[in-house]
Amino acid sequence: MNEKELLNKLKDIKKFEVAGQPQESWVLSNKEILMSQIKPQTVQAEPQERIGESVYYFKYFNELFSQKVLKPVTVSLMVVAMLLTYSATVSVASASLPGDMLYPVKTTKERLQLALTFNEEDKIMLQLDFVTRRVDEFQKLAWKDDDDTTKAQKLSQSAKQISQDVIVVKDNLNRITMAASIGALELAKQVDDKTIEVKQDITQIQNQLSDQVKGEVASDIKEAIGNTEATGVVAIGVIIDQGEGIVSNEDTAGRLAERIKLVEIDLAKTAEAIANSATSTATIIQPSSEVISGWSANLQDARKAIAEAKDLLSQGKFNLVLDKIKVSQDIISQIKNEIAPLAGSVKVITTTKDVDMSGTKGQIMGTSTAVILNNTNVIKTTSTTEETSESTRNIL
Amino acid sequence: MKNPLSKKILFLKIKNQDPDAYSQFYDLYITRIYRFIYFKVNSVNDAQDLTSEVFLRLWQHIKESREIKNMNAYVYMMARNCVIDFYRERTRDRELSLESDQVLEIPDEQRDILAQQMKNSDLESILTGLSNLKDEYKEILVLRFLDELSITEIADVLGKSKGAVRVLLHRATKTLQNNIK
Repeated sequence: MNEKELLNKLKDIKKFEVAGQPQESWVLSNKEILMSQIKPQTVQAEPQERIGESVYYFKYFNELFSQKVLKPVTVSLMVVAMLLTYSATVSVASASLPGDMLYPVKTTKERLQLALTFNEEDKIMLQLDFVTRRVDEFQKLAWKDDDDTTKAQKLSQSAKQISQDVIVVKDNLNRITMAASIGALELAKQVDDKTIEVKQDITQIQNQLSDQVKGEVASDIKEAIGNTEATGVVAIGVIIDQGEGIVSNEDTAGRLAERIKLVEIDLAKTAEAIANSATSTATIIQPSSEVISGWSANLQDARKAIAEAKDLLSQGKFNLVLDKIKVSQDIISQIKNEIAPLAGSVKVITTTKDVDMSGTKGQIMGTSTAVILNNTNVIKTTSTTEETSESTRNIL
Repeated sequence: MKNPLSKKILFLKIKNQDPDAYSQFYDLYITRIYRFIYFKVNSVNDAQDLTSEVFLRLWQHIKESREIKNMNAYVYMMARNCVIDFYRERTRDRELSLESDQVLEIPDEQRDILAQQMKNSDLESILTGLSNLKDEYKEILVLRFLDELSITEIADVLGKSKGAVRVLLHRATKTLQNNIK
């Protein structure tokens, strides 16, 4: 018997209907028992929806199509659509600015890029690119045709983002310097160059802003510039420490001279701000003569420090030059911090606004004019309102 | 029910917990499941009890909305599990050997009828050959040729890959062929 015959015979066993055939009486009685066990359960349970025969055909074809035809097609289409949407979104998002709906997509993509970069030096390079983007965004926002309030909000967010990014650069530069990375020196040079560029760009953009916007974003811009300077100083420190014998003295001296020049510009601007605080109408609260004297004395110390830095630079004592630059920067920063709250803007409030003065809350109703200082504090208000709190009335 | 589409519709109705559909399903499968079990337990009473249990248990699974991809394979798998449980229980209670019970035999009351029908046929030699096969081979031949399950369904029932089922089926056929030479 060949295999085919054998298989046919095996199938034939069924025809005899004796091999393991159940007794008919048992089949029937068992069915009765089974159905009696099943049906009461069905009645007691939630009533089953009676579905017509045609619905089952529909369900079957639906299942068949969804499993065998539609599912793979749908999944493929969804993947393609997602890829297209993703690339289109990321592409559009790359042009987005702070405050835009797609801006988080842009920053997420950057974070992803950073996460996928393993080399620490490459990471810093990438972060420097991001800083450039942030400054570019800052500029675009400044040029954008937004109302002052919106512009100030967006610029504020942008300036904060610049701060964050330069801080990351600084921290990472410190880290690779500690690890004595070979590429640290070259990176430090790039960071130094970039920070000078960033500071100049931000300052230039700031000068183009309206007085109101400038006043509202002053503190965030100051912080961004401060962090950029601090990052630059760290970069020069790396160049001085690790560049001995590698980086020429002329190069290092040139970088320090550039920093000194920037501090001198700051000194001049700060002196101007002190003078303005006493006379300008832009200053809402005029500082007392004692305060102005104090600022002037401090500014003189900063000038002295810079003068010493110049001397030390000519002697080639680079580390000491850097220390003097830092001292000078710190003094200037302190004076700016004290002047900034006094340079405010006048704002017309047409809606109800809660104000908080020294912990005493009041409410301005109706059309009021408030002097917004440092973007947060109401120092002086004039109001047409009939209802203001006692503490607010005292200020008026 | 020869029409595969009608069978699919029936399975859909069962999944929707339709007792009438389950009644039809019972009519369609009772003989096959009984035979499948009977060949394994070789006792009418045990086969009847286990077959009843299979149909009741299957309905409970449907009520619990458990996922059943292939009803055809699922009912055999359930029958197989019932037999395994049965032998486990029995071994524990009576310390009986599993092998000694798993002999493919025709019950006494049916032997005479079968003898008549087998006249001038090779069936007797085939049954003898089958009874000398090991359980694994017997089971796969019954599933494939008596119950006409597809390779995929057998793979589901036995928990093996389709390739392993094909190999097993080939070996079982060859061994049976050698046994009846």
